[in-house]
Amino acid sequence: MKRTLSCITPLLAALFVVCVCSTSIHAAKYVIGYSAPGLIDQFQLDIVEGMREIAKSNDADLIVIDSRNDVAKQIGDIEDLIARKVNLIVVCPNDEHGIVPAVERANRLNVPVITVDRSAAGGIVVSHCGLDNYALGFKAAEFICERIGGKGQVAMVSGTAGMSVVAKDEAGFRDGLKKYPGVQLVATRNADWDKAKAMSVTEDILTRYPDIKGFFAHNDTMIVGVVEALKARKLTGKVVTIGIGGYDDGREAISAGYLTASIGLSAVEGGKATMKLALDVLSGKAVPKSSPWPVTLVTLAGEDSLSLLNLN
Amino acid sequence: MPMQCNKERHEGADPRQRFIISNEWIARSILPMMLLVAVLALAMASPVFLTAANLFNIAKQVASVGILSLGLLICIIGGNIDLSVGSTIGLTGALLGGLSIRYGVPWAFVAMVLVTVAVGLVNGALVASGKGLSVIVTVSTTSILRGLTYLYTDGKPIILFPMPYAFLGSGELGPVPWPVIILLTASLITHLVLNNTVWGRNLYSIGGNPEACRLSGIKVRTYVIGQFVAAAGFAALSSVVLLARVYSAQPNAGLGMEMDAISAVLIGGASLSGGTGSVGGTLLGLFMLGLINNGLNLLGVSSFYQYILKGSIILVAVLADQVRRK
Repeated sequence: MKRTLSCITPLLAALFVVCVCSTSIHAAKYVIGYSAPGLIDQFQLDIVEGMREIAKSNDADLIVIDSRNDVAKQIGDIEDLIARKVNLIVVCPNDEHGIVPAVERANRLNVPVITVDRSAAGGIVVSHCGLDNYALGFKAAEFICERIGGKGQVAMVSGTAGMSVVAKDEAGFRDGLKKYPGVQLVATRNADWDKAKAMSVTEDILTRYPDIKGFFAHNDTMIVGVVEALKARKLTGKVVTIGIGGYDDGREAISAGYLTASIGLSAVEGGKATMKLALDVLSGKAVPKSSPWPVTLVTLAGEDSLSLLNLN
Repeated sequence: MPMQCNKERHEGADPRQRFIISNEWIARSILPMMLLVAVLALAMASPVFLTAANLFNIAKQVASVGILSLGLLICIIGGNIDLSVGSTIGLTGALLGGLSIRYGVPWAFVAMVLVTVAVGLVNGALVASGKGLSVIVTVSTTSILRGLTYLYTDGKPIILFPMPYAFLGSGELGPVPWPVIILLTASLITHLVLNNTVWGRNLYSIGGNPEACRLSGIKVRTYVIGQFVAAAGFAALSSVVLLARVYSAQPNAGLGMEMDAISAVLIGGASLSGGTGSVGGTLLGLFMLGLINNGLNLLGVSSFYQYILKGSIILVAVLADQVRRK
C-alpha cells in the first residue's frame, strides 16, 4: 500500500504540473472569460467552439470555466474571472436569478458582462445574444399540432427541473398548444438532458398513454432517446417527434427516418455571433441590447430558416 | 507479500525502519505537503493567486461546502454517513424562501428549524434501527427530500423573498467575508465539542467500536440520532449561507454537494469506518478542493482536469489512511 502511495503521489504532482503548464501564457490583446453552465452537451461545446474560432482570429484569449450546472459554483467562477482581470465576461447562466449577485459584482468592478443563450434577471448586462426559448417551445407546439392534424395526445420530455430555460421551453410549448383545442398535453416528464433517462421516461409514457401522437423534447440528445423507445415499440413514423438543437445525433435520426424534425440552432454560429459582439463591446462600438441567433427547421425535406422565431 | 512481512517481524525490527520515515508520518504529512506544493505552483503560475482578495474568494467559495462537511465529519467519526445533506439544503432553502414570502422571515426560520430537526430525527432513528444502514437510509431520504423540494417549489426557483440576512452571502466584516466568519465559528464550536466534551469523546469511541460502547453502557442509539440531527443542522446553516449567496432558492440547490463535503472530510484524514477525523484536517481538505477549482480557473485550465485531480487527491488520501492503519 505504501508503495502504491509512493507511486501515485509523484504522478499526481506531475499531473498538476502538466495542468499548470498546459496554459499558454502569452499577452493577447484582450482576455475574455466565459462562464459556462455545464460543458457536457454538444450545444454548450459548440458555443465554446464558435467563440474560440472568432477569438483566435482576433488575437483574444478565451478562458472557459465550467460551472457544472451549479448556481453557486458559477458565482465563484465569475469571482475568479474578475480576480484574473479579464477584460470582459461572457456568461451563460445556470439560472437567471441565481446569476444576479455575480453580475452585480462585475458591475461594481467595471467588468462588462454579456449573456449568451440564457439571460440574467438583474444587474447591468451590456448585451444579450441568444435564442428566445419561449418561441422555440411555441414553434415546436405548432409543428406537432399541424403534423397530427390538430387532434390527439402529446407529451413533453423536459430538461432538468428548476432551470429557467426549461421553464421557458415548457411555457412556450403549453401556450403554443392553446391554439389547438383538440390537442392535449397528457404528460410532462424531466429527463435531465439525458438520452437514457429520456428513453425510460418515454417507455413509461407510452405504457400509460398508448395512443400518443407527438413528442417534444427540449434537446436532441433526449429526443433521440424518445425515438429509440418508439423504435422498440414499432411506433416509428406513427408518432411526430421534434427536438431542439439540430446536432449530429438529431440530424442522423432525421435522415434515417426515425425523427420527424429538429429546430436547428447552430450553436457554433451562435458562439461566433457572441464573440463578435464581445469584441465590438471591447472596441467601443455601440451594440444592440439583444441580438438573436439564426435558427432553422431541419426535416427530411431539408433545412428551412425560421424567421418567425422572434415572437418576443 | 504478507508472508515476507511476517518473517521480518519475527526476526526483529525491520532494518529499513531506521532509514525510512514512519508510515504514520507519511500519512499525516502528505496532505499539508500537497497543499504547499499546490500553493507554490499556483503562486508561480498566476500573479493574482496569492492576493488577499483571491484567498478570500477561495474561502468564500468553499464556505457552504465547509459548513456542510462539519456535519458530515460528525457522522463519519460516529461510523455513519449522511448522503441526504445535499437534499436537506434544497428543502430547507426552499422552505425558508417560500415561507418568508407568506409568513415573514421569523416564522420561516422557526419552520425551517423544525423541519431540519425532523429530518435529522427520522434519518437517525431509521439508521439506529439496524446495523450499517446509514448509506441505504440516506440514499432513500436524499431522493424523498429532493422530491419534496421539487413538489414545494414546483421545480422553479423561488425568488424575490425578504432576506434580511443577505449580508451573510456577500457582505464583509472588515476585510473578512461573512461566509468565512460563519465557517470558522462553526468549525471552532465543532472542534471544541469533539475534543472537550464527553459527547465528543464518546462519539469517537462509538465510531471505533459501537458494540463495546453499548456494552459499557453508552446509549449508542441517542448518539446516532444526534449525529444525524447535527448533520441536518449544519446542512440548514449551509443552506442559509448558500441562499444569501445566490439570492434565490434553487430547487436543485445542494445537488451533489454532499460528495464535495465527504471528499473534504476524507481528504482531511477521516476514515469511512469511523472513529477518526478532525476539524483541522477537514478544513485542510476543504481548502485543497477550493484551491484546485480556483487555481485552475485562474489559469484557464479545462475543468475536465479538475475532475481527475479531485478524484486522484481523494484516492491518495484514502491510501494514506490505509498506510496509517498498518
